[in-house]
Amino acid sequence: MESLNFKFIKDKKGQIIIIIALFISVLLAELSLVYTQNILAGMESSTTQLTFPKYPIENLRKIALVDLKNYAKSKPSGFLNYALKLNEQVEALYAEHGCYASINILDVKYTSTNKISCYTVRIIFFNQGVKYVDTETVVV
Amino acid sequence: MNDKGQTFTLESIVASLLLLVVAYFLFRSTLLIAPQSAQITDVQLSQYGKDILRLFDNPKQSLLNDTLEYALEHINSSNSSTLSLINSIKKCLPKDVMFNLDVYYYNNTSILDYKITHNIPTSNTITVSRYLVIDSSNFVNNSPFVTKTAESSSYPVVLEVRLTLWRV
Repeated sequence: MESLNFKFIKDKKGQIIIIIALFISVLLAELSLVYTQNILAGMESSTTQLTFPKYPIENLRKIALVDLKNYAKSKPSGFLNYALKLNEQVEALYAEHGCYASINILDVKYTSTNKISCYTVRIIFFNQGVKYVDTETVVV
Repeated sequence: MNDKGQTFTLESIVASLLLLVVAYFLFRSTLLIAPQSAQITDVQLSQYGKDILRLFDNPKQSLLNDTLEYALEHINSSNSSTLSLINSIKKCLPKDVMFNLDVYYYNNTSILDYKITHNIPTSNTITVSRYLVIDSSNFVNNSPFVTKTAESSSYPVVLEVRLTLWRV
């Protein structure tokens, strides 16, 4: 600074104020960036919440875990055929909405009296953004 | 020992504290912001639809004639059993909301549509679906949802009940 020796600079004090002002302005700029991203994150979350196919998946789980269980209880002999017939209709109806959905029976356990004790079902749901696969064993 | 510069030091401490406090409140604020106002009405309509379909899907109360199961099981060419269901849905909805109720089903070759109401939407619509599984033996004779060529006497019929809602 001494070597520059500008004649129009009357007073060389005050550099710290300027440096602090610079720091504060940079920090404020960063904070405003964080705040903007905060709003963006909020918007994204709310849109995702609206478009997430919670209700179609809930419907699918109801068919696999409640309706199929009723069939397993009441009609154990033709259970696999019923499940196939059900799956065929579910696939067609969901396809109309641009989704793929299926309910596949992976395993059935029978008791000594030929009743169904439990079955394992795989629930699959796909759409453009969400992939849902779940395998559950249902005790009848 | 130099006594100069205390004000600057104090000022910088205050400034850093201020920034820390601002940063703390900023990060503490919730990340989830309510949907935009244009979407709120859609969300509300969709919630009405979901609630209504869940309310009227009541297989255990098969004696009530305004459940979805009762209405769908008793539809055939000569008998429309849906009047009671339509009236009950009307009672559940606000007066400025209109609806259409359709049933979609698969008849082994294609998807068919059975219209229960025939209203014409006057604004943007919201659609909500619920899937019912009803045994084919529970339907009345000549039901549109049961295919006669079925190989077995009883099989599960999946019906998609689609409720379309709009504001008037």
